[in-house]
Amino acid sequence: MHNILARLNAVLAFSFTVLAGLTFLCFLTTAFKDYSTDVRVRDLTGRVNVAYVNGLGEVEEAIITGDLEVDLTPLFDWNAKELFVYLIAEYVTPNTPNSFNQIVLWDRIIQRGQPAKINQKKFAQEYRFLDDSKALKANPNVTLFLQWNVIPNAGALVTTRGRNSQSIAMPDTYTALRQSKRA
Amino acid sequence: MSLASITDWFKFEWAYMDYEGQKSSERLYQRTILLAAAVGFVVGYYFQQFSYTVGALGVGSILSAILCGIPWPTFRKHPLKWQPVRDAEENGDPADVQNDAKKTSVDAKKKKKQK
Amino acid sequence: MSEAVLKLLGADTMFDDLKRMNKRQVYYQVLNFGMIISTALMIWKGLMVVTNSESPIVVVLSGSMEPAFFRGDLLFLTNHQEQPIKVGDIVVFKIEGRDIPIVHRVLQLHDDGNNNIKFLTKGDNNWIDDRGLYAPGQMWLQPKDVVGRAKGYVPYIGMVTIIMNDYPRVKYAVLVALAAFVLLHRES
Repeated sequence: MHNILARLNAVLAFSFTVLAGLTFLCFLTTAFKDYSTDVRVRDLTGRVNVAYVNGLGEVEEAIITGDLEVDLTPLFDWNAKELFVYLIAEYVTPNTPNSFNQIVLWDRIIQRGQPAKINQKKFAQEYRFLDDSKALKANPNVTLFLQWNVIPNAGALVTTRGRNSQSIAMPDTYTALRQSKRA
Repeated sequence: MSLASITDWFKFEWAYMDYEGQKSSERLYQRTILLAAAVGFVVGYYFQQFSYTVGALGVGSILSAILCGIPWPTFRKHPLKWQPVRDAEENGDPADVQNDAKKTSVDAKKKKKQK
Repeated sequence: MSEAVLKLLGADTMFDDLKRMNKRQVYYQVLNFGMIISTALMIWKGLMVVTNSESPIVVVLSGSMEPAFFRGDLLFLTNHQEQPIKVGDIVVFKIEGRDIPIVHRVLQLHDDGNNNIKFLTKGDNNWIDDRGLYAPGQMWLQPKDVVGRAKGYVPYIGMVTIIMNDYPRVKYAVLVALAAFVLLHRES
């Protein structure tokens, strides 16, 4: 503290320590918060077809679409930097007990300050939904959940599932998934 | 004005703060930053924007740096009591004072032996 | 000129402590240094035990998970096998034959009930999934490839590691300065 540099150094070090303490307190204020909210997933329709055949057999593909509505604005507290929202389809492979499959159909990044209301009519599936164990055709129960990952300013990474889910039974016939571009 | 004397002036005269001043300067910056942090925390929590908290802390830090880094006159109110300057011709250098002391003790020992 | 700068910074008295030290003092300093190193290592090993992960803290090296994680952010990992991997988890995995761990999100998961689990990953900031990153012929990842799952996050702190990796001279300078400070600084 005997010269200017020593004093400025002390002020800077103290500021950084206090900043670390504030960040920790900010984390504590949101550490036990419940980030779930109601979700509306409606009017789901699905189609299945054979995508291709490989050495192990047929690989099926499905396209699901429907309406998706949720308001995520109350989730943006002062420690929430970003929400990674994704729609997953969960299903069990028939005749295989204890099996479990999850596929992300659609995802979106919402950052603090951006509009946080999602209202998708007939959402466009963003990732190919493929399955190689004959699990899609006539599957009676493919459940759609909306989940989000809260990325904080600092602290725990939390994944929460929205309340309410919707199930859909896949059709038992193969239909063309996309409009053929050939005449 | 040699470079050494300029840096000496910078380090000892311009930036000079006496010990009491250093203590009170340290107390001041700690309290200022903590106060800014507390205000920032409350404001940030109310508006749910952590950037407000960081901003308040930043303002507090800059304020502290100015208030406590620069040697204001309040930090010079308890100047050190230096010893009076001893005139070099009268008693010789401080090193000579030591040698004189040694001489007198050696003389005293010699006198003792002689006795 | 350099003398003047050193004087200004108050660093011209830096080696005076060293000149005043005797042998016993030097041994004490070295032991002190050793104790600091062992304490740090013990804390690291303790973290490894608690999290069950071989690297409980990692620094984000690429921008493939932006805007969630940027280069220089710190991630805290756990690797508890009892917790099944789910889609949406942020996993840190290593491709066989490569050293560098990758931090991406699980996109698809297939578990056939007989402990054959295969999953696919993708970085938030990438357009396509990670199949191009896997080993040639590899279509899926398995739980054994996973080093840990990201459970905690602190921004910016890992920037020091990135700078030291990109500029090795900075790393040597920092290490030398740190060792010098610990060895030379005397607690009065």
